[in-house]
Amino acid sequence: MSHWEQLPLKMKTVWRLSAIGSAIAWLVILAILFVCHTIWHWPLWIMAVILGLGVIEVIVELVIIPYRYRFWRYHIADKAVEIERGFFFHKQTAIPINRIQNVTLEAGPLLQWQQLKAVSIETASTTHEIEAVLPHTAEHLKQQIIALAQEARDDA
Amino acid sequence: MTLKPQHLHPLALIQFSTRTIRDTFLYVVLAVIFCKNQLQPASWIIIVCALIGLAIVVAILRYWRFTYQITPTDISINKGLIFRKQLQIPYSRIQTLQVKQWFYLKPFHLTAVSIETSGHDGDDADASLPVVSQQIVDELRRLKRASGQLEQPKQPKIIKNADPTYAINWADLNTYALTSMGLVPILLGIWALYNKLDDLVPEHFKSQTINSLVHLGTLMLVGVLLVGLLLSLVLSYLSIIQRYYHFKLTLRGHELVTEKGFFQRNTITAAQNRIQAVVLRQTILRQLFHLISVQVLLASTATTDEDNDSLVILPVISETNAAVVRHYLPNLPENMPRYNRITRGGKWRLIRNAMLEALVLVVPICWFFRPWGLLSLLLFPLAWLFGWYAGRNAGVVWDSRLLFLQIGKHLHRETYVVEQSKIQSVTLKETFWMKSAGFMHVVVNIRQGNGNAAVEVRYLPTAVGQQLYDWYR
Repeated sequence: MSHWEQLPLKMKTVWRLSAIGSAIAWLVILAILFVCHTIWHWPLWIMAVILGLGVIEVIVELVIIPYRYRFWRYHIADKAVEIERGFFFHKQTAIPINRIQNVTLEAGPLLQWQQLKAVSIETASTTHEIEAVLPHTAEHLKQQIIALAQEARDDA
Repeated sequence: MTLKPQHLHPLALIQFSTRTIRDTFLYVVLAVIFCKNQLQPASWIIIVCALIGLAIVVAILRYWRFTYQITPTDISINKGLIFRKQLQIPYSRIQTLQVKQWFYLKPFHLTAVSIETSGHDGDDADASLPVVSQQIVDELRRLKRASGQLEQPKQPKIIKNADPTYAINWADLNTYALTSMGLVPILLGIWALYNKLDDLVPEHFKSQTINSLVHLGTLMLVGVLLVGLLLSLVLSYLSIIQRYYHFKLTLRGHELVTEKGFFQRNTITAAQNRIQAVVLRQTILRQLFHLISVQVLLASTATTDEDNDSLVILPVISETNAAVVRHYLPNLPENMPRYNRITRGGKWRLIRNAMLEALVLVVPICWFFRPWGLLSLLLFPLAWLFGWYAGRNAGVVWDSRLLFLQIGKHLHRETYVVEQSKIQSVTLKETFWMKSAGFMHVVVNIRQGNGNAAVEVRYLPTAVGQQLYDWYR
């Protein structure tokens, strides 16, 4: 497995759902503001501003999904894990496997539903995240890193 | 060797009590403020006495519950009033040993010991013995060293010369203190001083002073400012002298031992192979006089109250004399290599960014404080200087094993020398526009204390950044 991997395709669904989640959050804020308006006569323009911000935020979140997906990739070679993201703001990180102290697999409700796992890779001083991988990749990755770490025992 | 669980020295009682009283002090003050009018002075005295009594009882209980035990293989500590806590640390796991001795405990040969292992949570040392006799410390040191030797049995027996030792002389200490001061500590000093005065001086007196100041005019104000500046300079100078008083560095086997301090003698023992990086720090003042300060990053919280959170190895030496460092840090090369500097385009971008940051400050200041705010225009030449300095001093270079990074920030120059195996990760960052112009930032992550030191060299040529990345990977 030493070619570049993209995030699982299902991640797009997760991002879309999380955009819907933020839309709901904005609606809740709007509802609260409406209550404030009816009880304490808060001015309506606050609601208008919040509505505008919310609409823009959700649209941006939805629109950048293909971009996010297209420019997010990782690579697990024999010696190092590499994570690369972004095009306009490009960022590329290398973490040699023998510096890795801990690998944590996590899944919030959305990821669980899509049967994905987020991977946190911890070194002695930093934490790097692969946003989502398929369960078998996660397991594989964990095994591989543990095996390699045992080979190259190099304490911090 | 003490196999039975032991209590601390009885003088620990005093320290425990003062600490508990200090911890409850805030509550007492709050109580006084809120119920000032409800109670008679007499009942106040009773309440305060009762609180102090309670604190002493708590201290006695804590003293009684605190025991430690030194066995041939590990040290264990039992403590906790209600929730019992037991710690056990094998000697071979000890990373750094920090010994602090207040001057008033010196006649009794008592010290405080903090023991640290490589685990990394929390800001405190893993285990500490607040007041123990010097004998115990020596015993711990001996056991720790013995356990280290078991791990590396094939150490060649070197004929023992005296351990290499560096003791600071008065002139060097003086130079160090004088050249340590940058712009920021000075400003902080003034601010702290002003706050102190604000608390001390009664209100009516202050308004009177301000009135008379207005009468005396601007000249007086400038005078007061200058005196304040001078005072804060003297204070920070004295505090550095106090901290590094009789500084001494010794290499004992594979351990570096630094000792320093006037009121509190602070001894830190760190294994050479635990050093994460060597940092050479120069303020612009030091650069002018060709002086450097040598520090190391440790994976230890023993250094959190040090200069820049790193352990000072040699407070100040002249650049020509820098070879001395190699006695203590043999990993360093004999000569510093030539750096890959950043190009003119990179330098220009650093200046531009500094100017933009200044612009963000200057525009509102000029707008809101109309006549005097124009003085903030002086920030522009300063920003230009900062950017120019940063550009001049940025650079990287590496050989098969070591990476050298140099950055200039706020008229400080920092040179990091780090072994490849101690770099935790490397990140390249570039925006779309930088990519087409051929620049990237390189971030190198190194462990420092319990956290991360991210050293960022900005606007390197893409080719250099990519080569560095490939070298690391």
